[in-house]
Formats: sequence, C-alpha cells, structure tokens
Amino acid sequence: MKRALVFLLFVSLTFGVFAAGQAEQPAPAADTGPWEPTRPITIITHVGSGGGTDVAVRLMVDIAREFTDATFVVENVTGGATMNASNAVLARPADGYTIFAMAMSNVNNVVSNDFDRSVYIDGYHWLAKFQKDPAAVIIRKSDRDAGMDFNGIIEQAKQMQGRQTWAVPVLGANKHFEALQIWQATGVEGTAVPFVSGPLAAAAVLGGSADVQMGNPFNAKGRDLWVAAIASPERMPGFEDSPTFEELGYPELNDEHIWRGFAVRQGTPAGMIAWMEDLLLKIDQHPRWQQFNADNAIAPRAVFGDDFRAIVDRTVEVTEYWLNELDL
Amino acid sequence: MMDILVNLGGGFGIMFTPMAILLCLLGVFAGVTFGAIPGISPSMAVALLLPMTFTLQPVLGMVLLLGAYKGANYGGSVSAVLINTPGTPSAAVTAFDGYPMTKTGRVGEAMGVSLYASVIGGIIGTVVLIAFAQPLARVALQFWPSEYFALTILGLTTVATMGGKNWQKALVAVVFGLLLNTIGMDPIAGTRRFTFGDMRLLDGLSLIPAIIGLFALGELFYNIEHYAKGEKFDKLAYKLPKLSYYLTVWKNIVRSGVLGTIIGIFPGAGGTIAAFISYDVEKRFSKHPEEFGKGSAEGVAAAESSNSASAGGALVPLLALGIPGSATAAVLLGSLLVHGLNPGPEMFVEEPELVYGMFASMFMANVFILVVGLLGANLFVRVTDLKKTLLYPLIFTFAIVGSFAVTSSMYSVVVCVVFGVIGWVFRRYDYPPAPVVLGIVLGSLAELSFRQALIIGGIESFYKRPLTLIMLAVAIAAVAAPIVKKRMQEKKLQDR
Repeated sequence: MKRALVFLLFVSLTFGVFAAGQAEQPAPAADTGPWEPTRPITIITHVGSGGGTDVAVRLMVDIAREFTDATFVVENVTGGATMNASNAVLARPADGYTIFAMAMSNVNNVVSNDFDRSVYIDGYHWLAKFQKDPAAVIIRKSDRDAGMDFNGIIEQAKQMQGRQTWAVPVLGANKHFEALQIWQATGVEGTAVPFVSGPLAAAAVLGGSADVQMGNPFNAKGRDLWVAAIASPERMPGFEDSPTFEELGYPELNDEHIWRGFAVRQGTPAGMIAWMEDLLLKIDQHPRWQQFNADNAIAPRAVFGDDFRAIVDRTVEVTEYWLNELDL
Repeated sequence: MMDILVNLGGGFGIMFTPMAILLCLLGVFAGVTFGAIPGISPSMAVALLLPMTFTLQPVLGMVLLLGAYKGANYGGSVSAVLINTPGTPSAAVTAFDGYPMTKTGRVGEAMGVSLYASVIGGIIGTVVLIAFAQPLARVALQFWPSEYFALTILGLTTVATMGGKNWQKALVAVVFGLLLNTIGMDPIAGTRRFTFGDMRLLDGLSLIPAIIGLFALGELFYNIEHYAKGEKFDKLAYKLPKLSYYLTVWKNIVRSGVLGTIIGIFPGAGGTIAAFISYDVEKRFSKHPEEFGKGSAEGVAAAESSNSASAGGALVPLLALGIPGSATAAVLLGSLLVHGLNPGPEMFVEEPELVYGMFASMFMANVFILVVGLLGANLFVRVTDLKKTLLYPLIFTFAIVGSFAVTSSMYSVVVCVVFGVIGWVFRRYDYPPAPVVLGIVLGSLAELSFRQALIIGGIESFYKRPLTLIMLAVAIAAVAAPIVKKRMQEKKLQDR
C-alpha cells in the first residue's frame, strides 16, 4: 500500500509539474506607452535545435546582448508540420513575452492544410521579416564546364519533355513552387523530386540522381555546384559568375525567395512592438549579423509591419495558386 | 598520406593547449550526461552547447561540439543498459542485450563492453574519416534513391535474426512499426494520412518518445504488474571486467566499427540503421546466436561500436562535401556557418588547421570518454542498487520529462505513455519490441526512397543499377539462408 502511494505520488507530481507549466500565464499588462521587458522573453521556433532558423535566432539573441539587458530564451517546439509551435505561441498571452520565429513554410502549411487563417494568419501581428533567401537554379560545375547554362537547362528540358528532374526539399512547398514558376515562365515542364532538405537535394545533383537543384545560392557554396540563375536585383557577392533572372530575360522571376521572420500575437502592446522593431533594426545593421548573412548568401534587410504583412499575403496567394494548379 | 600526417600533427598541436583540452573534456562530460538522459539526443546535446561556440575560435568551438557529439553517443547507452531506457534511438539496440545483462547481475560487464566498444568504434570511425574522407564522400554520392531503398530492405531483413524462433511475432512487430510510419503527411503528395484532424500528427509520430515508451515504460508497467515483495535484481557484479576480457569481443567491435562507419557515410542512413545491421551481422557470425537478446556481450559490443563509428562516418559527407549525414552533423554545419566557414573540398585546403584540429579532437574525445566512462561507471551502476519502489517512479519521471523535451509539448508525453501501454502488451504476450523500432526507423526512408526511385527512373531503377541489385540480392539471401539451412538440417535428419 505504502509503495503504491509512493508511486502514485511520483506520477501525480510529474504530471502536476507539467500541468503547472502549461497553465495560463498572468494577464497582459496594459498598453501604457514605452515598454521595457521585466522578465525573460521566449522566442518559440518550429525548427529543432541547430536548424536554420534556430541558428539565426540564437545568433540574433547573442548580438542583442550588446543593445539590451533583456533575457531571451529560445524554445524549440517541433512537430505538427510547424503548427505545434504556432499553437504554443497562440496559447500564451499577448503580453509581448512570447515571439514566434517562423518561416515561409508556416504560411504554406496553414494554406495547404486549410487551417483557420483567421487564427493562424490574422491572429498574428507580423513583426518583421529578418532574412530572405533568393531562389537559385543549381547545376554541377562539370555540366557548366561542358557548356551548360540556364538557357541550356531550358533547352534540355524541352528535349526531355518533362523528364528533366529538379531536386527540391519538399513537394507542395516553396522550392517546388519556385521551380513551377520557372517552368511556367520559360514554357517548359520538368519533374520535381523531393529530397527532404536543401543539402540532400544538392547531394542528389552532385551524385547525378537529379539534373537540377531548385535551391538557395548557399546550397552551391563550397561544393562542385554552380548557380546558373539567381533571383537578385544584381549579381550577388560570391556569385559574380551567376546571372540574375533579369539578365536572362525573366524579370518576373527576379524576386523569388523564401523568408524567415518574427510574429507576435495580435493584441501585443504597441510599446513592445516598437521596442522589438528598434532592437531588430540595430541587429540588422550589426556587422556580425551582416557577415553571417553574407557568408550564407542571405539578404538580411529587415522588413517591418505592413510591408511584412503584404509579403505574407503574397505567400498565401502563391501557395493557393499552385495548390490549385497541382490539384492538391 | 604524408600530408595527412603532417596536418594531423598540426591538429594535435592545437589540441595540446589547456583551452582545447578543457573544452574537449567539458564537451565529453556534457555529452555523456545529456546523452544518458532519455529524450536528449546527440543533436540536442550539441545544439544546447552551440551558443557557447559563437564567441570561441571556430576550431575551439568544434572541439567542444565534437566532444559533446561523441560523448552523447556513448551516454545514450548508459540508461539503455541500466534501466532499459535508451537515451538515443541507436541505443535501443544496445538495450537488447545490455539490459538483460544487468537483470542477470552482469551490469559491470555490460557497462565495460559498451564503454570499450564505444571508444574503439569511435577511433575506427575517426581513422577512416581522416584517411578516406574524400574518396568515401564520392562513393556516398553514388547512392541513388534505389540504393537507399535496397539498404532499408537490407536493414529490415535483420528482423529475421532478431526474432529467432519467435520470427512470426517479430514480423508482426516490424509490420506494426512500418504501418505507424504511414501516419502523417504523405512525403510525396503532401496529403494527410491517418491524422484524424489532429494537426499534431502531421509530422507523424515522434520517434524518441515512442522508443522511450516502448522500452522503458513497457518494461516498467510489466514489472509493476509482476512486482513481488522483496524482489531484487540478481546479485549484481558492479566491477568492470579486466582488460583481457574485452579481447573476447574484439572481432565484434572491429567488424561493427567498420560497418558502422560505412553505413554512417550515407547521408540520411545514420547510426540507428548501422547499429541494427551490425547487430544482425554479429548474430550471424556468432557461435552463440541463441544468447543474442538474452544478454550477449557480443550484441552490446556490436551495437555500441557501430553506433559510435557511424559518428565518424557521418562527418565524411559533412566535411568533404558540406552535406550533413545526420541530425547532429546538421547542427555542426550550423556552427561552422555561424563562423562563415563552408565545409566542402575547399575547406581541406583553405582551413587545414580547423579540419585536422577537429580530427585530433575526435581522438582526444575518445580518450576522455574512456576516462569519464571508467570513473562514472562505478557510480552509474549504483542506480540498479536503488529500491524498486524508488527506481520505478524515477524511471517513470525520466521517461515523461525526456519525452517532453523532444518537442516541448505534452503531445510527446502522450505518445510516450501510449507506447508504454503498447510495450507492456508486447511484453505480456511475448512480442519483441525491437522490430517496432526497426519498422519506425526504416519505414519513412524506405517509402520515400522507393517513391523517389520510381519518379526518377521508374521500376527499371531497381534492376538496372548494379549496386541496387546486389543489395537486394543480399537482402533476399539474408532471409532465405536461415530457412534453407533449417530445411537442409531437417532433410538430413529425415535421411538418417
């Protein structure tokens, strides 16, 4: 009997501690002008520790120490096709102490799974887009040396009549849509093959199981790969021999990119939003942040508020369009 | 070769500084500790230390992280051996024999074999990495989806030996694991499968909570059901065996180390598949295959050596091509990127100090694992000395907390408890839980690679590529051999 009681005590204690952790936080403070954090701010991200967004956010937190005494805690809430993280953010009060570090894929998932947009899109104030990965068409360097370029890829695609394989991370998401956008603009067809992640898609091209990678310029860096076309207003540093889509005669493709950003729940104090925007602007211009982005071929340039919301709306539109086209 | 040795000398030059030694030791200690906690995988252990590296020199940052990586790989076996709670998915294979050894009083032997196998396997993986990184990386690239599919089929054939006389039940268990993989988003079409409107199931079931539930809670519930007053483990032999004892398993360690490294080089394959296949191979080679699953030191040696060696293998595509071969390698890649370093063939030329400093640190990490393991083993084994009335609630608490840590949500806890009940049912009706893990681990890779291969080359992919054909033939032979052997023995008996 005594043992059973000890066991039950442990069981209830374990669940009790978790229940306490899940309990509703105190109500948000009134929005009364200038805002300074008085307790740690939690940044929830949908990727696991060490993932792309996670690394970028942790670096930002490290840089933020130079500008504020505020404590940031990065929490990785994974699973549920990015929705677990979104739900975790929405379950917490709109008091400014919870920020969602998310990516374009979150918006893709809301649309593709037909989740309630009034909750998962309109329920957020879109604080800032902090990174932009330009679209890049990537082939093997050996193919380039043999005379292949973007126009050659398109020519080959015509000859192969839809059998040219393009490696993308996932079907029905950003990189797949970028490939479709390119095929539509150039009047060709291809076969998209999902390889789970950008690096594995790069490996597929290097090994010859795919002809082309639809990726980010960084996927080619340091590897025997070459960017045959890049979505950028001008040639990117480190990729000077890679033409932009505009140079190739496809200006409509020149803004294809994926993004990462921050969002907070609607109703978050305006003072907090202003405080965070100010902090992000400082981080955006910090040499370490700029160097990190340059090294990874990412365009940092933070975009705030309504401008960011417009980008989110555009993502919704593009996702809807392609899902309908693909009949998914 | 001379270049490699000269550069390696330079690497050791970096490692023999107080800061590097301290960071390596810290990494190993943190890795072993984190790895021993169920739910904290090597990739999580490394990621937890990642922010510390932002302000360190790149090479020192990598020394810390690699120490944690290797330490966590070993740490996962500690809880697997002692309380049947694998700290990492690959340690599930270690639990097959490690925990039965503990239950029969051979805890010191189990801990010793797992430690030495882990260290030697790690050294094998590191040597192969240093000597053959570039050519092996090129081989890894030649693996197309059809070869990955064939590899998963080869992996699935291990169920034939895993089940032994109970092969029908093992087959049911592996199919159950494979079916569980169908929950979530379709990897190609993106449609939802068996999610029943619950968005938490979109990414499928969480592997680690499922394993913790299946092994730790399943065993726990069964033990509670059969609890008898005054029951204890068999008289425990805490002391680690003498060095000469390990000579009895040296062949298993070396073979599994080489196999683990080879499997580890293929991006996406990983230590868990390596551990399953090595375990299977060693069982086939063994003079006492009947002891596997009941407390075979050879089984522990195979699982730990291959798992540890696969860590070196996973770094082959990372360093030579910039392609992470495992989740942990992806975190290491993230750390290099923060410092503006791009792994790939150019890094060997442009950053030899970094690359060979990393290699040297991997050797040193193995030495520190031995030190931490030897010092810690005598302490770790005392866990089994605890009264069961205290031990069982502690295991339950660890399982719940560890599961929660995986996704930071109660969903993982629910998965863990549900799989605990499944594990208990399995245990009660004598169904082995290990094939379920095999099914879960291999199922998604098998499905994705099969469908990728079909998209790329149609059905021809499976018979026009020689490597695919060979691997599929080996898989068929692996299943057919025991059946043919048995039939021949029966025929001989009849003829007499």
